[in-house]
Amino acid sequence: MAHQKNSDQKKFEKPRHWVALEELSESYWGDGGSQEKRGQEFLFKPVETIANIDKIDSKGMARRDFLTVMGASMAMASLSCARRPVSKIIPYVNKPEEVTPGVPNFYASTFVDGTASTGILVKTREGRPIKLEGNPDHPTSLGALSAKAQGSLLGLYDPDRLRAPQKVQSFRTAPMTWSEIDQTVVSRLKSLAVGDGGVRFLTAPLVSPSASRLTQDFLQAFKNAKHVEWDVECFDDLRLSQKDNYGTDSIPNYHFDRADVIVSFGANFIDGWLSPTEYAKAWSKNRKVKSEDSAQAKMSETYVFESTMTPTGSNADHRYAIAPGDELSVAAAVAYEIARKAGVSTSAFSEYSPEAVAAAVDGFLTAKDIKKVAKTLWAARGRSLVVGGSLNASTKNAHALQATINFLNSTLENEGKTVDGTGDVFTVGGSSEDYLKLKKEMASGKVDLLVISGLNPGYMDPTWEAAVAKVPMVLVVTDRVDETAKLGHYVLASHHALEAWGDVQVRKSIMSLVQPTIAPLGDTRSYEDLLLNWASKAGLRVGTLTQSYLSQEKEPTTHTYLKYFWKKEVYPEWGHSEGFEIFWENTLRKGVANRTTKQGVRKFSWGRTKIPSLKKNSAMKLALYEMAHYGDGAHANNAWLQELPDPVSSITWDNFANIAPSTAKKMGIRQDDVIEVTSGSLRMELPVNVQPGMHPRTISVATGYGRFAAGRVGNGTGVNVYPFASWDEEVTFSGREIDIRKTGRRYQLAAVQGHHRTEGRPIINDITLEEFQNNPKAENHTDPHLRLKTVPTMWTQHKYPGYRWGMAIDLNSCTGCGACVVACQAENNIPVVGRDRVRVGREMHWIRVDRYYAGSEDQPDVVYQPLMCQHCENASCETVCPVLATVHGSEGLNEQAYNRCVGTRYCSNNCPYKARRFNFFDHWKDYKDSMNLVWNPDVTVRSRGIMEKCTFCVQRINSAKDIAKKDGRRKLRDGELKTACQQTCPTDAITFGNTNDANSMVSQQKKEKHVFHSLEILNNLPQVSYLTKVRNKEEGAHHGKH
Amino acid sequence: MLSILGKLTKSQIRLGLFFGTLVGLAIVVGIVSLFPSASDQGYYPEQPIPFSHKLHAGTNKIDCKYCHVGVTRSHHASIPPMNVCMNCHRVVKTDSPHIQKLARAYRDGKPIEWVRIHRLPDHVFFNHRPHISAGVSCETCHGDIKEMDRIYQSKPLTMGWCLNCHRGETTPEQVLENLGKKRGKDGRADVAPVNCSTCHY
Repeated sequence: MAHQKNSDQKKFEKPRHWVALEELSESYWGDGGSQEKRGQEFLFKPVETIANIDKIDSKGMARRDFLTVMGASMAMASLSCARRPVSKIIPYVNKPEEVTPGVPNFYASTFVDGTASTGILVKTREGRPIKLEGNPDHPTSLGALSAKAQGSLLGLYDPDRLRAPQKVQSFRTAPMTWSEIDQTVVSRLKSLAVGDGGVRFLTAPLVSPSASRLTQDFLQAFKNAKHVEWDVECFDDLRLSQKDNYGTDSIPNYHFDRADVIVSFGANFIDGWLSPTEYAKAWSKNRKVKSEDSAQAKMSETYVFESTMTPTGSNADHRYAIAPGDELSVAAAVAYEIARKAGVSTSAFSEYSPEAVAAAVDGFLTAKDIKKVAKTLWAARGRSLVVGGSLNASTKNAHALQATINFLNSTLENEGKTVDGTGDVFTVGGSSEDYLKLKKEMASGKVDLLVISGLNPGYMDPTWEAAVAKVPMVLVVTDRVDETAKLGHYVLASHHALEAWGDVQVRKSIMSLVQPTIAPLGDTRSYEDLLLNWASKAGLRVGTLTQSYLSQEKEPTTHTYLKYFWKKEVYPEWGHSEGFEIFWENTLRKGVANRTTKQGVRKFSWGRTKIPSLKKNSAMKLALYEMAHYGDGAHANNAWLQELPDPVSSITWDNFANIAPSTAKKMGIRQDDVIEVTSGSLRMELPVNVQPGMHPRTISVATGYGRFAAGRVGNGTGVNVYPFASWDEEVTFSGREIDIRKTGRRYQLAAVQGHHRTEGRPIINDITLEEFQNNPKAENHTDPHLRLKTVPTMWTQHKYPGYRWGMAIDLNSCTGCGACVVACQAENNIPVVGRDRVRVGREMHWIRVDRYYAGSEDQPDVVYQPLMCQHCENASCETVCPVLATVHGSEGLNEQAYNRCVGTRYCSNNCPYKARRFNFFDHWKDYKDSMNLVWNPDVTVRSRGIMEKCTFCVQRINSAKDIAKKDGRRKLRDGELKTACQQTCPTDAITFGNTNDANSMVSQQKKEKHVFHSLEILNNLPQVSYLTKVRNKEEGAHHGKH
Repeated sequence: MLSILGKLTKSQIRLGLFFGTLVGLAIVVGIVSLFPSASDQGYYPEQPIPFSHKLHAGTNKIDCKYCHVGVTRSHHASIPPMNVCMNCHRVVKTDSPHIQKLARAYRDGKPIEWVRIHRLPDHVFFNHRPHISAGVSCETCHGDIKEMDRIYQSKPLTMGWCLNCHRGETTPEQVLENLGKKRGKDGRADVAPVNCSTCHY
């Protein structure tokens, strides 16, 4: 759009929306050479040679298997003359009553992930789970599911999971039998029970009440025993500050849907903080606007101060980049203003006047901005919410930050309204202080037996190895020989959550069950299995509940223990005197039991909190953060999650150093340059991502990468940055002062955005709330010469007598989280292609979430756009296919018949949305061993040479129609049929349905005045409509004036 | 070239053309016959147990759905699980060596591996249920099962064959009546969808 305008105007005007930084320079648009370059298939030539790429990949998955491909073509040439192979049908011996071959069964269970644990429905076919969906009855899910949870399905079939327990000797492992291990452990436990040797359990914070009780009971058999719960993201700063300021030792629950003004200091609550799926949904509720009565339209206003660009920041109305550690300064300055307005003493932060803070944090934040935040917050007393903390805000100031936030919420009267600190609070524990104490005990030889479960300190903590070397017996309960297991003595192969029984309590009001949906693939045992078994075999004098269970059960199992625990402990509190068996069956079927809690108001006091004095920094700082879908590296061997692009940078398969454009320019650093980061004796090398919206003095890097014992997929991706956290007196992750230096080398990051360019054509639309209120009509906000006028057509119009499928996507709700991408991948058998193929633009995702920047490179606005096949009415792919492999169906679907496709790729070249994907290789061959069980039997597994793309989940359409017919209905009910992307979306951004029905949800959405179609000037008439992104900010008016 | 042709008589040229065409045809037919037919019509394999549909469905008139329970509920008609066989054969004809083989396999929990006859390619998703509910008889696609001792594939099961029925050309009259459809002048009726994605996805 910019260069087209420039042909008649001399002055260069930056494009309103841009993908990459170079689009902001005049030469990109004007220079003939770069235009020619843009016309080429590969916009950027791979920086490295193939040999270099191979060298990297040889550490990871063996993907480049040319011999296989050659072999396959030889086999095809010779086999084509043979008769078809004899195939067998093998019936059940005794068919389970609930199984009908070809008909899926759904089981309610729980995805276990600390505070983010959420209810799921497991879709199984013939006894194997093939898809996870959110459980609509579960309050933290409400039908939605995060990308990480969607991806956890592939973890079940990970061929690198242990199939049997192992013994470790000098970093090598050898398989053992359970009876051998039991013998060794039991004799050890017996001797420890009589003496006073130190028994320590180190686990991730246990969300399971039954496992928690079992651990307590088990440890009662020993005189010197302790259970330590810890994880890198266990929110203990948040919990401890509650104890300090209010006397309540638990993490409060937050009501984002009740808040009109939300301020976050580093907390990525949309995507990765506490209970993100639930919070994203709640947050988006107040962000949906209707064009009917638009003058009255209301939206919540979100302010985010953060040191790295997260989905929360990029979705906020106002985002300010700050350096890690300065969260406290800004929060205190806001508190200073609020305290003045409220007439409360400001003595706690007298140094933190907005002016002083604005000067100290440098960057883009002014005193005016801070005052404005305070003013908005004060005006919305009781309807506002302040939150903070996350890895990137976990600095030495973390406790003071939380105290300041508590002060703010109390002074703003949010306590008891948007903040629930007494009723439905989180029930998980976890303490880094305990962890550090344990490490000291280990190092001084006071620990005789250490059991580790659900945690990988050997990978995270660089000081772990020295400490654990002093422990004579280390048992690691894990599903693979990971870094911690290598430093232990016995590796106790554990179940995947989909193979195990269990329970989860995330908050006071929610109790849910975990049930196995497949028999264990290997000879594995759960954590509970182990403890019960040992307690029984060693005859330990364990706590009362477990003791009484063991006395009546000869062969203890997790299942019977769980049921016993629920009968004795859960049913009396949660049941409604319906009888235990009925309560158990109902909870198992529904997946969750609920009860009501009462929300009260607490009184704030500063307690022991001291606000440190304001410091002005000038050093470069390091911020660590977790990519929400990837987390702390526990899912590193999950190829779906590795290949899911980071929402903001769109980079896959690696972590990288985010650097502000201004800093990069100053230091002469370009995208993909490798830099050296040093701090004292610590040193690492990282490729650079020049990230708009970073503070000039901050480098941010994602954690969880650089594992060496994750498995074939996860090994050798990225760099481990945990050593740059602080592990001595206090565990903090961000705020370390660092130096950076160019190395002169380059490393091509595998980013997916940038494979296609918009060439300045308007593909998205965003306006401010004020513009929306004045005139919501989308065409008032797009360039007039790019709007579609009615065009005469030479084609006969399609007729849709029955259904006509269409979709509407609300860009205002889409947070870019990527859950839809993984859900689509699981549903539609979409393969993973690997890093080097992503580099050359050959990723296979049918739905992608494009990210566009708007405005300045220092403080950009961000728009996310989920884009899949648009099922165009005048589809440009259909007219060019020489073999009629892609045709228009009678229900408006653009259909792709795989077996007709000969792979000319004409359709893909002609698709303006670049929504089509071509199989350059037989990607399914990379699915080794048990991974083949993950395929959805209702969708073809595509082979080499085939074009594919979004089908609007036609298998779901067909099956829903079939079910309706079976029930004797002629028409589907609206909302009965959901596509995989729609089903999993935490913010309900996607609506799908029959547009022939004027009353359907999708028709209603399409009637909104702020609907637009991407690239509508091309007259493709897409069946996917987008609702304009609306921002609650005053300035803007970048458009609509043409 | 022309000079060579000039030396030949007309009949020689005609003969040459005739044989040339024959050779050409033979090559084409040869190449085509190298590739397997799209249809396995007539496939007649041996089964591990000589189960007779003629006896069960024909003589004894056992309803197809008694054993093939999936047919009204699922994509797959499904081969009956062995406990269904044993419902009767616990008492019926227990002296037959074949039944003894069946009983032994059942006792050992080792299912019989039947040879699959009606098999569509992997990229076809055929759903039995709607066909049954529309009143399509089993025999329409599977032939006269009641007369078969050993089952064979009696119909081509090719895409064209499917489409002829979906378009109404070969649809059994009973099915047309059930669905309330009538053939037009072109001999076709809108019996069932003919989109690619009806079966291919």
